Amino acid sequence: MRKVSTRILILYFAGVIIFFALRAVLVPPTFGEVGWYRNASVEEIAGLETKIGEEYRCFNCHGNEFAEWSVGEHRNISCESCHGLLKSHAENPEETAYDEFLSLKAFNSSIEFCLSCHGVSVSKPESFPQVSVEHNKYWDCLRCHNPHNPVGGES
Amino acid sequence: MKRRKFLLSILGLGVAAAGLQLKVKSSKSTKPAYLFFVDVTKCIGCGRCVIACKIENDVPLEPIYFRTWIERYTWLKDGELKVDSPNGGFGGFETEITEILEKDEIEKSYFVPKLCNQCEEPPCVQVCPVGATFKTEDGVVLVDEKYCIGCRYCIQACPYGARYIYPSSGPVKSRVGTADKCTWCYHRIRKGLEPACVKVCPTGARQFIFLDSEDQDSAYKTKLQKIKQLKGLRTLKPEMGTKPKVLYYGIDSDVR
Ligand code: HEC
Ligand code: HEC
Ligand code: HEC
Ligand code: HEC
Repeated sequence: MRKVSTRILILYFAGVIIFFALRAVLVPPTFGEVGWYRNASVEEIAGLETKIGEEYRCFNCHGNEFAEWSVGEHRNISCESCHGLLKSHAENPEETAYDEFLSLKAFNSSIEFCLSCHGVSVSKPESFPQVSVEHNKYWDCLRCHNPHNPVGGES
Repeated sequence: MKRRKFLLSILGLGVAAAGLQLKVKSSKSTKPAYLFFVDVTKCIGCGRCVIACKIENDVPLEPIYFRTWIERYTWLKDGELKVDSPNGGFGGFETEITEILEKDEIEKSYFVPKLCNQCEEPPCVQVCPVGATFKTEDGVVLVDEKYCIGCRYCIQACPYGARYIYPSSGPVKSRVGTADKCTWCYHRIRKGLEPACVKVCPTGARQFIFLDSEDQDSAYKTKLQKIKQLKGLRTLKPEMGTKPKVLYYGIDSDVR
């Protein structure tokens, strides 16, 4: 009688120890600190590298373009929107400034580049300035418009 | 003797109970720190946001993986609604809607940018069996790529289709096979920077507001004030009870 219950007790404690051991292995560190998740992953995600060269950096080296842009009709468009994220270039100007997706280089011509925003469309808000092909079919838009100050600027 | 055994078992029970308790302060109420505002009356569908998002967040370039995308809603005169989103609006809508539908059949048409709504009551978090997707204390829903088992429950649960499984063609190998979604550029907003899509939006159709703006520019307070005065602000699928945090201006109730 006495022997049996001691065995049960030993088994019981062994079970508890195994539970703790498994839990230590299976539940990752910081899990459950704040909620039902691994708290460390919040900082892991928050710490990811950004890829945008912020505007003030462009300003440091491209004062002329910045000055034109800041008074023109395109002043609410960030440099990144027309030139690409360009962090590597802003950190090291030796790196290319021609982004393959967002810059003029992503388009066949300046016409396509400008029309990617200014092309006529019934889906666009009416107040947005849209130009049809009649405005200019053959010439480089940049011949008459400065991209940084399209209305007032010298092109 | 009996008494000692009894005491020992009580001790054992106590230890087990302490072990079971996972120190979870469950459903701790969080205070949202950010707000996303989409002004559909300004969107020109240029698709710069979709490109910038993919690059900033290493989203695979194939046309089926998106953290943010643009849909084109078109109503015909007979009341029929058509929605399309060629390549998610990546780089704009090359084919004008009038080339797809007869111009004089079209009643109205506009672009609707879509992204994760960072719901206050996220169904995706509720269904995750392992705790790999969760809402942070500042109110953003994230995925722990080291812990996600890729079971796809969250993809099924999201009413907005905001999630996808990261394919092996993507540039971040550690993310392959796990659920991926928009984080409102958590790595940027935590540094006080706006999300990439907001940054490149040329017309201000996408706006981001830091609600804890004490150390931020007071410009955000003015922005918030302006937004709050707008009539007809909507969220997507409010009937789902998910309490989305992306506010839309200028959409009809059948935009979902
Ligand atoms: C550290 C200084 C520096 C910073 C910061 C910088 N650039 Fe540059 N950038 C240069 C230099 C130097 C060149 C090469 C100029 C040349 O070849 O005429 C260049 C070239 C360029 C060109 C191509 C010009 C050409 O005709 O070859 C573009 C476009 C450009 N930069 C855009 C940007 C943008 C947008 C930013 C901000 C994200 C930026 N740059 C930040 C120094 C800088
Ligand atoms: C509306 C789109 C647009 C915006 C916004 C814009 N750029 Fe440009 N930028 C262009 C285009 C297009 C060209 C090419 C002009 C050319 O080849 O003659 C260009 C050329 C440049 C060049 C090269 C100039 C040269 O002479 O070769 C620099 C440097 C530059 N931009 C910097 C900037 C900076 C800095 C900003 C932000 C303050 C900015 N851009 C914003 C469209 C833009
Ligand atoms: C990323 C989108 C984008 C690109 C690319 C772009 N623009 Fe613009 N453009 C705008 C926005 C936004 C405005 C401001 C519209 C407003 O004030 O409502 C604007 C304004 C203008 C205006 C002034 C129109 C007016 O009536 O006030 C001109 C002219 C113009 N752009 C020409 C160009 C030319 C030329 C190019 C090509 C070099 C170009 N844009 C490329 C977005 C763009
Ligand atoms: C022959 C010179 C010339 C060329 C080439 C040209 N434009 Fe213009 N554009 C003008 C003039 C002149 C105006 C009217 C005055 C102004 O707003 O600057 C104008 C006005 C505009 C406007 C404002 C329209 C509005 O409704 O407010 C936009 C947008 C524009 N152009 C875009 C373009 C684009 C895009 C291209 C290339 C496809 C282009 N332009 C090529 C001369 C030109």
